[in-house]
Amino acid sequence: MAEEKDDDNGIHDDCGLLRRIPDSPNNIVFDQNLKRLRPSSANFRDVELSVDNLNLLKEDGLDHNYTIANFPDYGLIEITAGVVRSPQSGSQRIVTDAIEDNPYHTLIVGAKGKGAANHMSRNCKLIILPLHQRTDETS
Amino acid sequence: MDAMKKPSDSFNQLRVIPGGYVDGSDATTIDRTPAVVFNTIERTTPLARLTDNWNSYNALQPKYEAINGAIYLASRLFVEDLPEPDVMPVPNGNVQLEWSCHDMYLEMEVQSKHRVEVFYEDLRTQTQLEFVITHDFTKLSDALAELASRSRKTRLQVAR
Repeated sequence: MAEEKDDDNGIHDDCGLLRRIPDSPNNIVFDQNLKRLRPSSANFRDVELSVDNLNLLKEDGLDHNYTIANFPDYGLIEITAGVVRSPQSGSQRIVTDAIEDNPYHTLIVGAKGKGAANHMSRNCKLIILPLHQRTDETS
Repeated sequence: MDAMKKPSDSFNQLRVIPGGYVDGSDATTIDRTPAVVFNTIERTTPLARLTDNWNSYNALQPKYEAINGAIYLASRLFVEDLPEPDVMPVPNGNVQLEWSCHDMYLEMEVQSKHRVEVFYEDLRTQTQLEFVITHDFTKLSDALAELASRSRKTRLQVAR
């Protein structure tokens, strides 16, 4: 199981990790403190959080579009391995977990308390908005 | 007396609307339920329509206990001037109510009306708390009251 595996130190701290955000209301919220949109922390609660390794995608000549290829309505966020491993994020482990239909699949493993999830939600990058929140400028 | 109506007739003329007012020509009662309660309920109930795997990562359908609990707690704890929360499903079947305004982060992850995980961060005092509530809602009520107070002060400053 991925929980028994160590952190993959071959994944450098500057490596981007991609995750889809569903097109349902309020998965992306407007943070009035930061004065910008960000994903809700609810997106970061799984003990084994599935993401795609952006560096591996790039090595194969691919990019973030791979992650949402079959999910045109979804949004997409990128979080760096360094943020995920930080104490504020609960010192998560990053584990390569290639699966049959996704060789770039990676897991962010570890208990994610509400504070850790909130920290990750405030320190990731919004790449693509979900469909219902896109405007002419963002699409 | 002509003006006299049977209680049932009067009741039928009452209509509670968001904002806590009652619309009816003979209305003598005013419902004081804050608008934020109505709006939170309105945002929470559609979560029941989500099905398993709603996030494409095997998320669970929001649980009845979580939806019911969120509505119950909003009705019991939300006060006038509290900003409207963002309401979203959590992949584990819980429901989250979340605020990020007035230099505060407040999150209530509701599993049921008897179990809520709370995250609270006050950027002004650099206070950060994380706790689970099962019966005593005092700490959560205090945080909601503080948020409502800041919201009220901001509104009054803008009005001046």
